[in-house]
Amino acid sequence: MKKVNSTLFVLLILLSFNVGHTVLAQGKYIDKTGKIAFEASEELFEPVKAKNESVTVILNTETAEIASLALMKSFRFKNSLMEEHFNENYIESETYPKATFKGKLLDFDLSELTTEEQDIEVDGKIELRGKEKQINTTLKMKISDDDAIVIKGAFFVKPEDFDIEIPSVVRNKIAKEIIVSLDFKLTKR
Amino acid sequence: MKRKKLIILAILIVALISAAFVYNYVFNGEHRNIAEEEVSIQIAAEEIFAEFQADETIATSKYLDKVVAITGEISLVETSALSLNDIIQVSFIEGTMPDVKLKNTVTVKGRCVGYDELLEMVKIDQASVITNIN
Repeated sequence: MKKVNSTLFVLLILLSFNVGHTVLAQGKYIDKTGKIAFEASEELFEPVKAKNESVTVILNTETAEIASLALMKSFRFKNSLMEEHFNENYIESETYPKATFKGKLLDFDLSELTTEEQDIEVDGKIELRGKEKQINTTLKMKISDDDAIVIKGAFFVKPEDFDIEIPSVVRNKIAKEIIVSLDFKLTKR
Repeated sequence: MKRKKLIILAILIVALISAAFVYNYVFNGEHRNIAEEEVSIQIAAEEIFAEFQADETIATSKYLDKVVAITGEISLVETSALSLNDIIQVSFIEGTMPDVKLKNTVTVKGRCVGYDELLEMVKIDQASVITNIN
């Protein structure tokens, strides 16, 4: 009897480990090819915009914590000279190679997500060029046909939020407010 | 007199054409073609990863934007990307993904864009496979 008991005990421990493991594994959704685009175009001037299609996004559906990382060199401009200026003069990507976002989805419950888009608020911080900026915006979230979590959204930032100085020669060619849009598709890991 | 006008006209046309060329060169300059550039650093997947883990700032200044050739074992194949030893994330320009097999050892050439601490991977883009050792 004693032996049976201890076997049962060991089994239970093993089982609980296993359960714990699955819960952890279930809670993680990842996108390695998330898309972020920004635009700072002014009418009549050449469009100032770029796109990054290899953004990392990790969402923990248990805690609603969300983190994202974009490498600066991965932003593609149509104009290669503009891309060079972006990296060398504005972002200084050799010194500050990435932008990160860390935050939390408010009132998020995975089981309430459907194939219909719904508004979910996110609160967090963007870090770029060693500066932090608080961001609070509403995202559109839904479940896709292939069970991925789709997140879309857009928000505004200003160059001065990250201490980016725009030289006076080009000041009227670059918008004061830059729109950042995102398009993520996270799959279960 | 007529000849003088013609010369002026010719000079104007030449000036206009060269201005257009300069404008085009400056504003519509072509992007780098990584596949055709020469490799500046040859390295093993584990080595470059270890350098980024040891000191990201130093590794960034050494590898960022450089054309590197990294050798490793394919640990994941995606639509237009592959992973080497789970520590290097290699992405290809859409439609240029080569036919590769899991577990094969390959050398990929591409541009190093930095270290992703969320994935804990070094990222390479605009890649091409240069050798495929079975």
